[in-house]
Amino acid sequence: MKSVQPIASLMLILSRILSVVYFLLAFITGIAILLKPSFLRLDPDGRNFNVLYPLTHVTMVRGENSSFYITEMILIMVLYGFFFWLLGNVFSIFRKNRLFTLENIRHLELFYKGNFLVPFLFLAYHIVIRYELETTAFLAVLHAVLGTFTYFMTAIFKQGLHLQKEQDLFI
Amino acid sequence: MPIIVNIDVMLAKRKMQSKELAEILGITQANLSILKTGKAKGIRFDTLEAICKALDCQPGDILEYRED
Repeated sequence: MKSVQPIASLMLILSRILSVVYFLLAFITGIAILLKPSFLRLDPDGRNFNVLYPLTHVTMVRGENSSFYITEMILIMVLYGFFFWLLGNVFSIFRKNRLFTLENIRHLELFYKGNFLVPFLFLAYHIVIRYELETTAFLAVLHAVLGTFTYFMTAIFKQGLHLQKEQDLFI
Repeated sequence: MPIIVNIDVMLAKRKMQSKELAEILGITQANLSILKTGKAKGIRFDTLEAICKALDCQPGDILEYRED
């Protein structure tokens, strides 16, 4: 466990940073689209938009200038923000001295349920509208694999908690 | 369970309090209570040894078999 804890701490910090970055990107893009400030530039033909880094001409976010695309892009950013936040919670489990607790199992359950449910809903929606099916299907499979591993890990943790409770009754 | 834990009896005989015994054994009062009330799944040999030493008794003075 001694080598696991520092790695888990590092991964937790990285996950939290990524989570905050995604939330910030979603927030800035949302603000740019709504308020159309100076750091939002449209291509001459008006088909694509560019959100620039403040006070620069460097593009931070670029996308198609359609309400569907923008809504979905912001939604994906927010969802990945949540994804990395929940991933951070999973890493935080391995920083603790006591692994098998109900709280840790709850973190794992939330993570695998999110990985199964959200990409599946996205995929179902994309199947209905027949838009970017390949990418969405690839991501849904990737998250499902991650969800499956976490699901198995949850089962191990549940068994561990049960055994630990029994062990605690040996005085 | 047909195994009865008689720690209370021995404590009374030795005029010792549960809190004192828990401190000697290095376990919490809650765990000693689990042991006394028969809720424990088992008792470790080193715990039994420490109880016998603290109460100056034999394992048979603490554990008793009574048919259901």
